[in-house]
Amino acid sequence: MGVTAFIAHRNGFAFTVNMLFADPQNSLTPLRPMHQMKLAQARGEDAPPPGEQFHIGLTFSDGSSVTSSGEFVFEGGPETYLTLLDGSGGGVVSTLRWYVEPLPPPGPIAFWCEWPTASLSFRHQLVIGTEIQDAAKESKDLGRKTE
Amino acid sequence: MTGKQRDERLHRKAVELVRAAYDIADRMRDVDLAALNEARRPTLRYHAQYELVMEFINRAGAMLDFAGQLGLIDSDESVAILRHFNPDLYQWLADEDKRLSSGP
Repeated sequence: MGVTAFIAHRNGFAFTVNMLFADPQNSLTPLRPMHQMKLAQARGEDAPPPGEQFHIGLTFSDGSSVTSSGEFVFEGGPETYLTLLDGSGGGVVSTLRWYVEPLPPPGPIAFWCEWPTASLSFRHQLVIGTEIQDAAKESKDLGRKTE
Repeated sequence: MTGKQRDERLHRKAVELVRAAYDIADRMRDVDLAALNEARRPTLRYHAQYELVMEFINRAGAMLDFAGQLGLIDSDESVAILRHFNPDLYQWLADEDKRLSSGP
């Protein structure tokens, strides 16, 4: 498992979580528990058992953190949010692309991921907060019309 | 939406695009998986239609998330879109889930 492909945006950043499974016939996809989480939330049902949920989190250098199991985050929710952009899964490779807002503080970011169903537990720290901030300063706002 | 005047035009467009995204996910059930896999590297091939559909469902979910975070769609409406969208698709997903979990 690894964290790659960081992209800094003006107000946040994206990264990709790659998972490699030894079994080519693996039918597990992390997209399933995340969809089930959202669906349970929408239906007002209990969340899937913790052992079946996919959890991902980031802890920043100032001690703040953000986590997600795929549930909805609505306007007025937490100040920092982590949203799944897209992903794929099943077979040897699973890929999840995430977006975090706002930009991280300078210093290290600890990434962790737990998925008991797949016997997966991952923790990795990268000193990348400053680099993301620097890269974000280079971003251009394409949303405004020019005269 | 909390504290701000909602732009109705943007709101309608957001609902329309999110519904369209879920509709595309639904239509992925009928895509020719073999033809799709032909152009993909062996390690990136889909093993089941379920994987493809789930990929597009989560993509639609991301659109719904962002629309919610931006206040374009309120929480009740998001829940309603997800809860009432195509029960047939959800049943198909549940059946496929059981089938794939039970092994070959």
